Amino acid sequence: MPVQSAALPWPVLPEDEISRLRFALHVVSHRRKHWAGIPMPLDDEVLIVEPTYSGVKGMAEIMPKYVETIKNSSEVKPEDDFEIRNTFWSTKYHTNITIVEVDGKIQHLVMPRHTLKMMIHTMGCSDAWGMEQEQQALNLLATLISPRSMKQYFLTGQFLETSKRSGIVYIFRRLRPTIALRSTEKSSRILACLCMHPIAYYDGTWAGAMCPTDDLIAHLMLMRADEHMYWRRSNQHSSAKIEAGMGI
Amino acid sequence: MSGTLGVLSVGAGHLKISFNKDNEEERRMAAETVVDLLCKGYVLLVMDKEGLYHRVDGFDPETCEYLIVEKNVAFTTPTEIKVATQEKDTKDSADHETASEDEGNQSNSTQSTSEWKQAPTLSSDGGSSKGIKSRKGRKRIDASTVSGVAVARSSGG
Repeated sequence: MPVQSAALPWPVLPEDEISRLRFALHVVSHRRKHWAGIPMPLDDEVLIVEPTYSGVKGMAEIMPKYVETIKNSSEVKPEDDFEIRNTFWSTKYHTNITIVEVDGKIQHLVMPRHTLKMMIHTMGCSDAWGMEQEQQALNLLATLISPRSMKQYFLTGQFLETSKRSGIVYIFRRLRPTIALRSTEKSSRILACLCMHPIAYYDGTWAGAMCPTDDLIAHLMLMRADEHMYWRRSNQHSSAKIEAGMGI
Repeated sequence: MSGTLGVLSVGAGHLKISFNKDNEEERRMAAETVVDLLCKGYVLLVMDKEGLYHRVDGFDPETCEYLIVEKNVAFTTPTEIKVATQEKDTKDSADHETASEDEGNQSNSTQSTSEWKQAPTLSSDGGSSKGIKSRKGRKRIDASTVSGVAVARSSGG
């Protein structure tokens, strides 16, 4: 018989090894004054970390297979059987075209147009988060937005807010980049899809090291307090790109 | 009433720092933590009594006050800046043609176009972006009266 928790509206899940590791990392980070914690490396996922954050210093050297810094991630990695010559975005096909050299011959690859791979990997990253953290983040979010927005977020995973400074409409989404819109009386135009994760994120996914709602709170607060910094810190994806998470 | 600051954290939820006026020890530790957070490059975002959000620029541990640089900056997105630059370039080249016809002074007009390109990307009511960082207009907010959130450095996305 599962035990009902007072804080969570669902049965408590049995503890797994990952949750113990998460707790251990939390204890270590608190002792060492790494206030934002230590991000958790996962099997089959590459964690891209902010290189100057003291909590992850040396992680990339200890676990090169699982952890990379931003600097390393942009470098082209040599492959055994083929070499990537170039990658570019095709507006016609709405996807990336990669030019590769295989046995001295140049070939092209049309990358998938759907987001299935990113969706599945994002789902896998949920191992890194705990439901307690997400619950805490939801409690905090409830103090920051209106009850109607909170209901929208709880039920649909998204809510919108208009910036008081710029008039730009932002659609904040759980586990997807924030959509920035410029709305006029006649029409709306997507300016960019803003992707940003504090400390670290898992490469090829929409998942950050923090639980989804904490990531969203970071977006919301930066937008409200310093919109310039928010845009500077975010990756600005075109809405046509897979990374934008607009459901191609 | 005590002000709180939530530090978004990976581990066991976010860390809560509170500035309790009745507890001097807790207040001192909170002040030390906030100073450490600022030194480590965290962004502290607080809401004042009027419901406006600000980015904290500094912290006074003696009085437990956040230092805020008051900005009155109109926000323009990079796309809009690009469009504005193109429009300005077009206008400048039109002005240049007129000026060339009138005075035959080509170098002045070219200089004005390059100046625009190098101009700060923010349109500010108070002047250039250089002026925003000045010490003028610093506001103090008592940390024990407001709530806020601290966000670590961003790794992009």
